[in-house]
Amino acid sequence: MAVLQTSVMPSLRLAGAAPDLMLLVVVSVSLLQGGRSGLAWALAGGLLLGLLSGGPFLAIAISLALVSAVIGVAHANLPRETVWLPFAAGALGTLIDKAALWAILQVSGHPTPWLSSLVLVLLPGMMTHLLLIYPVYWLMRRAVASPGG
Amino acid sequence: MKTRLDRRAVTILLLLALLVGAVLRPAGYLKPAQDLVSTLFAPLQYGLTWITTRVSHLLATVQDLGAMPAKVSELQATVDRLMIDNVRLHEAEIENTHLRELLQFRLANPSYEMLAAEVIGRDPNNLLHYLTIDRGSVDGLEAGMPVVTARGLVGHIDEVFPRTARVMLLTDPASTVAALIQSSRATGIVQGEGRRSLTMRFVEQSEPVVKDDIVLTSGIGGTFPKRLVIGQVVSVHRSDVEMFLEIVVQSAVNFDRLESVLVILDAGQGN
Repeated sequence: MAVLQTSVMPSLRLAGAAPDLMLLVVVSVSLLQGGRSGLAWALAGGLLLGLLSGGPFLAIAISLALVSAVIGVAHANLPRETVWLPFAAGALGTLIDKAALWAILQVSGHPTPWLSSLVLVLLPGMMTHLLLIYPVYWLMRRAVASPGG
Repeated sequence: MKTRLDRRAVTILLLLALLVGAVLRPAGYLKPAQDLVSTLFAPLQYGLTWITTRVSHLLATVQDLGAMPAKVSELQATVDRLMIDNVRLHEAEIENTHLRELLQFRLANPSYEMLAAEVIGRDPNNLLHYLTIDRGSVDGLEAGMPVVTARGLVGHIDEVFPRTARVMLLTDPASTVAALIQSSRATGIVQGEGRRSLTMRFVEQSEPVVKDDIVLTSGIGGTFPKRLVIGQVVSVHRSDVEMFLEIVVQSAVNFDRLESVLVILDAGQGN
């Protein structure tokens, strides 16, 4: 998945943003199996992607872990079988992920202008993920059976 | 008995008629009878021929229809094969164009030793602007080496691994390049802004910078050799309360479509 993320996803830009496949997987697993399972995927994916990234090594792992924690709360407290839940989780996950990454880059000596990050990365990313979250969620649902649903 | 007799009589009469006709015909005496018969029979012949022709056409069409699916399949397979060949040829054409551009750049800059590399990946963090190339330390790459295409400067090698290397693009917010305006020779620093356009800073307000000016590397600092194209001025922001101009520069390179690049191995010698 890390190789797909770095070599294939950049070719699938929508609205200028490359889809973040690992983020979508973490969101889906967190929704299906809870925050702990999502955290495992976040850390494993974050580790590999951190090795392939030019930014701080732990940045992606931390941001994905945050996403899994927040989405895991939704898993525990919201009804599972609602159509809108994956979309909402995808949007929220994108916001948390990009905000966390931006903050980490700011403090780690790799500052990024907030306006271009918002306009060129966050908003297009959110649109892209809203389109892709359901297919990824469906695939992960088949691959990882949910005990409650 | 009577029927058998009648039948025998008719047979004999017919035979006689045939004999007579055979004798009379060469002399032309049978012509009136022939005219009468052909006139009477012609409409019937015409009608039957018309019907026969239509029926045979119909039968032929039905036969063709039966063979149609196989024919369509065969033609479809030919079309599919030709489409694939076409795509392959088009890809080869595009690659050919890229390689020619790179070769021309190399020929135009013979003082640089360059190594071609393919882009094999991009940074998984969308807030960063890096890409991965398929050359590494085993190929002689070192951190800091400039990376270019025929169109202009791409960035520099940020980190090297045995078989790959990470390139920081000009558009990365951490990227800075010493630059100058080609026409006025005004110097400044080009910085990435996390978007496609770049910003040139620290150019004095008094400098005559205008739209469409070409921005080149100045060679100051030694990281990048001189006279590499960075881009073109898109807009100039002057302010009475600021010491320096803020110049927006459109990069010469389309970073979203990079497939192959050149790494300058001996940048210092090219200055």
